[in-house]
Parts: sequence; C-alpha cells; structure tokens
Amino acid sequence: MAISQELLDILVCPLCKAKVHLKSDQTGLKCEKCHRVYPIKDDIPVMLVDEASVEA
Amino acid sequence: MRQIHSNEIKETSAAKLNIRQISDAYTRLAPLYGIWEWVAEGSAQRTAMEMAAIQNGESLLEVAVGLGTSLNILRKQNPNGRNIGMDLTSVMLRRTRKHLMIDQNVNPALCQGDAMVMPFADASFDLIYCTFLLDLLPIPDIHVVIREMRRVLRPSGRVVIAHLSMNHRSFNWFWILLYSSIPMLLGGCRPIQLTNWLPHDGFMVQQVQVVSQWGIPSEIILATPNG
Repeated sequence: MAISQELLDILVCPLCKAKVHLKSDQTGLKCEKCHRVYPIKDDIPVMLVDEASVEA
Repeated sequence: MRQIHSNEIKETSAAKLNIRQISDAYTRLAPLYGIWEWVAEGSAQRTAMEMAAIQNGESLLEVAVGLGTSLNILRKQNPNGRNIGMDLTSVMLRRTRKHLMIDQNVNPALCQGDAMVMPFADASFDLIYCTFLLDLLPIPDIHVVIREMRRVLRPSGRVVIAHLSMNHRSFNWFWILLYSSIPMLLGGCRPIQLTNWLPHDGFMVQQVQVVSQWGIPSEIILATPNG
C-alpha cells in the first residue's frame, strides 16, 4: 500500500530539514542533502535519525 | 481563564524517564493503553477536540497519536484536509493504522518520528494537536518540542495541548508519591503547568480549560503563534 502523497509532500529529513524523496524501490526516503535513508516499515516511514543509514 | 502565578514551567516532580524509556514502556503498554485512555483521558480529549474546532480543508498534525482515537474523529471532521499522525513507537502506529482502516480502506498518513526533531517542513500545519505527551518529558525537552511545534505551524495556525494538571494539592501529593516509586504505574506522566511559559517559546495562550475525570485533572490549552 502506497504512502500517501499528502504526507510525502511535507516530509523532510529530521536532522537537516532538507527534502526527502522516495527511493525507486520504495524501501526508504532519502535526504537530498545528507543522503540519510529513512526506512519504510509496514508502509509507515520511520523518520528517526537512529534508524537511518547513509547512502552515497 | 484561571490566574497564573509563575512565568516558568512547573512540575510536581522531575521527570523520571527519558524518551527511550518512555518509548519502550509504551511499546509494552500498547495493548492496555485503550483502558488508560478511557479511564483518564476521554473527557480531556473531547474538550480538546472542541477547542481545536477543526475546519474542513485544514492541515492537521497529531503529535503522539497513540491508538488513533482522536485522529479518527478529527479526520472525519476534515475530509478535504490533510490529517497526519506521528508517534515515536511503531507498535502504537500499527494499532492506529488498523483502527483508522476499519472506517476507511486507505492507508492513513502516519509516520514514526520524534517530537523533538519533527520530520516536517516549516509552516506545514494549521492545527497541531498534542495530548498527554508533554507531561511525560523532562522540562528541557518540553521546550524543544514546543519550539518544534512553532516551526512546523503556519503563522495563522493554532496548537491544542492537553496535559495532567497541577490544580489540586492533594492530588499532586498522591501522584508524586506513586510516581516517585513506580513511574509507569501512572503511564510515566506527572502533573505540570506550562501556560505561562508558552510565550517564551513562541506562543500566545488564547484559552485554558481544566477538566477532571475520575478525580484526575487535565489542563487543555489553545495557543497561537505570537508573532
């Protein structure tokens, strides 16, 4: 089940407050600035810094 | 509005739990949280929703959405608006989603997040609704959360906050006694008073109401950005 667009429109990285975008495989939301990836678990974005990984 | 005598946040006792302990505790308590809501919070929640007076089409954020009881009611009053729920614990969010999808078979707009570093753009919301979160937190963290609310709230927006109230001295004494021994017996919260501090964190208090349920007093505050 897709994440609602109304939520995606306003989500930002909790750390640097830059926009995040949905990864092509829809497994996470990637920050455009710090490249942290926030996982999506059970169709719910987990926007916790401790749960994020950094991707190049 | 009742008289306020202090210009700082008051607490009956220093917070005994940090944010991680609170998250772990509520993960364990999630199956029973509905009982606590019914016993202690229902009256305050109804008053808070009346005070919120949501208008259809507004952008709403509920911080610490719990089981989604309030969000489910608020979103029905706001079918053309944006209704978002955030909580720190995944267990609560899964329960909230299940609860909301009983009524509408669409994925509700939920995210797991920390109220101290909210994952939302500046000025995203017309209404922030937050009940029975701040009374769990240490005072420095309460300030951080209130400032985050100010950041994500639109200049024309409003916030509705409910928390355990310090109105009755005997109640305060009894609560401190239990809270000091076993904090989670009382849901990890303790009575606080924050109305006079809100202007220091960017809010002007517009309305305050105290309601009592089974002898447990709660304070409900409506506040708007002060500039």
